[in-house]
Amino acid sequence: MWQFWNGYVIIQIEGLCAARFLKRLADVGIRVFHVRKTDEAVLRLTIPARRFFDLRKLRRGLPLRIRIVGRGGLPFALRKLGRRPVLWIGTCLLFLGMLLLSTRIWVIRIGGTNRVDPEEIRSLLSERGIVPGARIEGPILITAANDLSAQIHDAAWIGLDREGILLTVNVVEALPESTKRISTVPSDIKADKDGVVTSIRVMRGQARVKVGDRVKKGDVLISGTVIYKDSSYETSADGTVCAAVEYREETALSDRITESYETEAEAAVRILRIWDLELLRTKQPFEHYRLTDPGTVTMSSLLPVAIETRTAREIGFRERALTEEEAEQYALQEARERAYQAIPRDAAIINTYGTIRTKNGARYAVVIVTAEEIIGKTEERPA
Amino acid sequence: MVLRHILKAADLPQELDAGRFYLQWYGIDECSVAQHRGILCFDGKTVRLATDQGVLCVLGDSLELEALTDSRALIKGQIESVRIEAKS
Repeated sequence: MWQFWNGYVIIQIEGLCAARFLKRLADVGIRVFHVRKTDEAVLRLTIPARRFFDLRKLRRGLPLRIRIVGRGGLPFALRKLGRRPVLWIGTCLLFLGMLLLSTRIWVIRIGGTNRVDPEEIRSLLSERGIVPGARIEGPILITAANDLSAQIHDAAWIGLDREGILLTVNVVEALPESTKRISTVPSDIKADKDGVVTSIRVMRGQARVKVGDRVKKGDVLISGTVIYKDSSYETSADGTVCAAVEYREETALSDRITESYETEAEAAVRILRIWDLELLRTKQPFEHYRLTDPGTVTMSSLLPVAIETRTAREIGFRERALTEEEAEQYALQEARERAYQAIPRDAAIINTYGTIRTKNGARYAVVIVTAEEIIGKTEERPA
Repeated sequence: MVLRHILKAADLPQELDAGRFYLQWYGIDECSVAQHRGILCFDGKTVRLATDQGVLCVLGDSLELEALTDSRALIKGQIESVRIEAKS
């Protein structure tokens, strides 16, 4: 280690009186390391670099030949680097740049948003100069957090936390408007779909329908006018009305169908991955194909790169005539899928009915899906 | 000789007696000689070191002088024997 810091020279001594030369070195205080015989009358040894020029004086009178065979250590490494000023300047600039850039915010991460639009937060932050690349001090963040909390209606609290180049915006959203505020504008709850009422829960106002009633779109379900004895008053109706709603879909029967099949054609596909990310894939061998799995994976021992080789099997399409029974099944399936797509996500399917009917000589698959869902929609009365 | 008696009486390390060399072994392939008076011969099979008591001769094969200063020598290699050629 000390040799490395101070620098060292590896020399080769050729001559018969090498031991005498070694004694001279030791006598004048030159520390000698790694002395070994490499050939007949040839010694190789390491001495401190700064004492190298003393050797000329010490070898006087001795029939020796001294040759430098190597040198190393920090002084030589620095001298080598000193001849490359661009590298030094580049390194200094890099560190300086990193130092400067680390004082600024480069990443803004917004968390806890569900109803609040992160873009709105970004926009409000940028109005205050808090953008990637900006230099931000602590008090500005506190002020900005307070302003954002006040300006964003759906946020109960907003905190800005800076860690290095990362600014984290933590949002705690307020409770939804309907659960915390009672509207003072008179309103009714009206049906937004046809259906049969299955349940009704009135929070405010007066029910105009009961369970089992068939209602049409636009009918008043819960009225904002409350009649009590001979008097009445108006309020903002609130409550939930559920109804069984029918979704009807029709699909004409077809006597032919296009179906996919695997042709005999095969080709190898190579995929270059870094971790699990696909970087490159060889050209698509067919327009439509299916990859068999598992393929063979060749991993690199040094880098997280893998080459996956899989077989692609061509997929072809062909038309086929359907039997009557198959045509009915396919038509019913298509009609059922279309009906399901029309049903809202929060609805519960309570019945599905499918049949084949003939209309104007053509045959149709008819599917009726009954789903229970909330049909009440608040509608404010005109002032 | 007087110094040796003093060191013995005071129960001090004998290494303090600069007039005598001492030999330390590190396993079977390394030894250190302190307070020698200079190297007389080195050829990979023999290391001869001058001491006040005579010549210390380390014999072996593939011998290397790992370090050499005016008073210490560290010898490595397949050491087979150590011989002392005392002053007559």
